Amino acid sequence: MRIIETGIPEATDYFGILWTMAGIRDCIIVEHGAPGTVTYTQMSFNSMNRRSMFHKIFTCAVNEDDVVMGSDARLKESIKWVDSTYHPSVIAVVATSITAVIGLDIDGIVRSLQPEVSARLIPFSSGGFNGTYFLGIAESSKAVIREFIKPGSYTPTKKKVNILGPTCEQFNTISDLAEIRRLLSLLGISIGTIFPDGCTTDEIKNIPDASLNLVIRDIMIPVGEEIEELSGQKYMYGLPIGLTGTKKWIARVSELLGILYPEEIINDEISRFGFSLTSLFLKIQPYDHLSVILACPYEYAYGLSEMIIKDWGMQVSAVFLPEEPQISEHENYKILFSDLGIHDLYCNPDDDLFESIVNGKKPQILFANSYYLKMAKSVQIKIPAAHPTPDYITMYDGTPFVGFRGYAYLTQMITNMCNAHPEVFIK
Amino acid sequence: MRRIALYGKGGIGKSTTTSNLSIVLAKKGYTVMQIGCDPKADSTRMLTGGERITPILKTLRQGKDGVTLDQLVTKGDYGIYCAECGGPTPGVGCAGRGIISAFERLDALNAFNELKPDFVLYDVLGDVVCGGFAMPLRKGYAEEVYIVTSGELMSLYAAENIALAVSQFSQKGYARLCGIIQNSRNVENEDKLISDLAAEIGVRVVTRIPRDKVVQECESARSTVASFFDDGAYVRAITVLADEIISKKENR
Repeated sequence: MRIIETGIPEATDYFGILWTMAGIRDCIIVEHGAPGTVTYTQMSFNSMNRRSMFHKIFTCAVNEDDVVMGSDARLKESIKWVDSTYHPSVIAVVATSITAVIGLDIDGIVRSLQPEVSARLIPFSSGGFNGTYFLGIAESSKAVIREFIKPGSYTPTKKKVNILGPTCEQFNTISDLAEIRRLLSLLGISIGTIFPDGCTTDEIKNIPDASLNLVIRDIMIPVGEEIEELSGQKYMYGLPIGLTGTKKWIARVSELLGILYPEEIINDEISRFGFSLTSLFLKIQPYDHLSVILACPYEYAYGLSEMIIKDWGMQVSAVFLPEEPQISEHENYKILFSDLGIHDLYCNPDDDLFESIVNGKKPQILFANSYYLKMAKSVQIKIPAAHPTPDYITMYDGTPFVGFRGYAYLTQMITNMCNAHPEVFIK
Repeated sequence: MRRIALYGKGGIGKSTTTSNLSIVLAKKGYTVMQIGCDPKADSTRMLTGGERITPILKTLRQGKDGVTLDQLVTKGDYGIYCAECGGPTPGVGCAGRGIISAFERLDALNAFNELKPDFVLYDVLGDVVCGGFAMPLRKGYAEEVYIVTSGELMSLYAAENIALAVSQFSQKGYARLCGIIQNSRNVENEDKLISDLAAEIGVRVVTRIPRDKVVQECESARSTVASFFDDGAYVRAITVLADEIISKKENR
């Protein structure tokens, strides 16, 4: 852990829990904490695509007396009030750091209160001391899955998949999910449940009804494993990015679902969306020397690297990941990057390291969050590609980074941005 | 696996009783783990030849995520697994939270499944002063609680308070109070005073440990009485306690 945070402090598992549970439509969060904590939380939600947490997250407004006496009365009353006022299917009872320090027994409170309320109560007692938001998202997702999917054998519907992964802090999910839905529809595949962001508890119960879970971020691999253990349902991890990456992704989905690879459809898609940079830049605009740095979660970082190198013919000089990718049991991410010729990999770097690498490598293009984009003053082309991006909205569903349309969108964007900064063409 | 917590007023002899109990159980062929829940981190000292083992919290602060189970648990006399939660220096920090952190890390490292003890004995500091010191009572960490007390008034008060805390937790399905351990101080009417307390809180006096200078003599030699002797009044009283605990297992 850094002793002094010079930039944006890394979100804890407490935030991961909130980001997960807030996405479930018929869930309300009741937090055991001071009012200021929930105020800050609401503001942080607002910074992510202007999400509103109105009537979604409540606090029992712990005061000094509650802390000293270890009283649970306010929390119990708050839970009962939310239950009788809003009738949610689930109430997530979330501890804050105050709860964890005084050792209030959230699990016991939930167990004793459950018979008195209609909503299903799920306790989260870590209070933000257990790890980063990665852990919070994975653990809370697994808790929800265990609550609503019972172990057993299910008869899944053919050509139906679920998507596991999106939460509110994931960048550009609205457009990316729209494109994934479109790609799947080209193959005649329907989507059952998108978990957790935007789903209902009934949709969670229906997860075993699909033939395959498409895990679109590494954080959710443990959730895919959990579901496989409960229902026997297989999962596939990865995001379709770039022409090469999207074709590979479609081939894997087709194979796992026993569908013939749709050669004709793919060729048609590539002819519509597979713009070549050679055809978009003029002969006097060389671009193969252009260097890119990526600072985004693993799925984007790997997929975009592959696209930039294989489809665009540019170079990736460094990759910054917010956390060590959780895929090591399946694939060695360092080898995957190394196979692309990328050896400068940094996990959870501090700001000074980021700044010095960017200043040293002098890339022309940077994909990153708003904070890093602002830090990299010398970079000409800056593309938001990760949260936090409080100054950048991605509400419209037509700006994907994934799929064939994502490739087309990014290729068009990079062409226009390079043209707006013609100095980048000078070798 | 049985998990047992010993509570009692500070200085009443919990660590001495727990360590001797660990030895007697180990001599009977059981695998025992003793976890000290006191910032002083001296519960297991007599099991390790008087050497202080490095507390869990100190190791965690040094190693953070890379810490392994063998760094947190030391093997003492008769193969007893010894662990000390540790805590902040007096006057600062939050010792209760320290116990929670130490327990969570032992859980994360799957300590009980790895070491497979037959008995886990928690030696817990003084009164149940806050949520952290109640941790052994919760989430199945300990299923059974014994209170160590003498006939001294302050010790009896503390025992009553601890019984109240345990009763609150047992109503929630957590640990239950199983009995009183009398650690005699030769107070006038001591047996009666403690019997009255036991009756009041609805449990039995499981054993009456005599005041015996052999305890100090053995501790001067940095060991427990039960390590040196197989018999004698002190060891017999501890053996009564051990047999009571074992018989509960057989009755379960």
